[in-house]
Amino acid sequence: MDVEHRTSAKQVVSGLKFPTGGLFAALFAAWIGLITLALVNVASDVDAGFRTWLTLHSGIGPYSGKELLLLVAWFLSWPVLHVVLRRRELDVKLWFGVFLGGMLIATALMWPPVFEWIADRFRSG
Amino acid sequence: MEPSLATLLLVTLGAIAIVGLLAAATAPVGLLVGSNQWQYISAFHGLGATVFMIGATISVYLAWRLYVGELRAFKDLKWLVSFSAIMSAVTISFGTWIYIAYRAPGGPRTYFIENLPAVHQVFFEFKEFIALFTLPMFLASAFILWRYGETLVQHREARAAASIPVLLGWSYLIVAYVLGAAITKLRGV
Repeated sequence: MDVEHRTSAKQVVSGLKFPTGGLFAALFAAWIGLITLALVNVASDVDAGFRTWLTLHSGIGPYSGKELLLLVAWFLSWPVLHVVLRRRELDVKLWFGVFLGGMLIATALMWPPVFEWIADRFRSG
Repeated sequence: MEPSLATLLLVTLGAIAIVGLLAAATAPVGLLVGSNQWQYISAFHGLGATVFMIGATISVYLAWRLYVGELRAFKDLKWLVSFSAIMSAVTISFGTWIYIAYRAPGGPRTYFIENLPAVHQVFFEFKEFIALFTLPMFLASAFILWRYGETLVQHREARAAASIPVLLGWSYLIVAYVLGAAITKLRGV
């Protein structure tokens, strides 16, 4: 309710061609694809069976499945988020900050010392 | 008067065509690139990444102008960010293809694991994943720029939401580009 209240005031001021929901559908779908890649990468480091399952092409190895899952998560979530958010005015400052925080997490999870440390914790736990 | 994007494109393509024709006719290109199929794919991967870098770098400058609210060439930004997204997809495709040669028995991966394991485990692993981050950033930004158009210019926070992903995409590209060049220098396909 708080968001709705703030956005109705913002809608008048913003002057954008469309509500800001469509903007965040694009950004959050991109993030969903990338965080999927990061989590799949950790999972493949933990579980050898999953790593084999990800090997869709013997030459490319598990990277083939990781790439495909990134694309699937990204391009499936985008239209869904677009339909859900396109008529909504979201607080740009708040939600863009959330997006940037999410990107920081996704990027950190791709740094090998970080994802290997997490995978080690899962293996030993 | 500023030259149009079409003029710039025409001049660039013309210059590339003339230099390419001269090089193909007079230079031993085969010796420069290499003799096997993978060396040609590797060359296209590197060329794609370089063209992507040029487009992305100009995009970052224009995105900065948008961010501070002083962009006049909005159309140029839209087209350059879209072009960068396409080049990202092209470069990633060639990168995935060349990855087959990287992983092949006796390829660079085998060499790095035996001689410089940290290069594979840290630098290459990070490079192969972080390069994938460029496409969602440039495509999301291109979508926002096309959908919202010049109405973005009047909205300070929306300007940030459209331009900062370009900066992020460019930063990921720099990391992937530098690591790719360094790894190729240590051991090519």
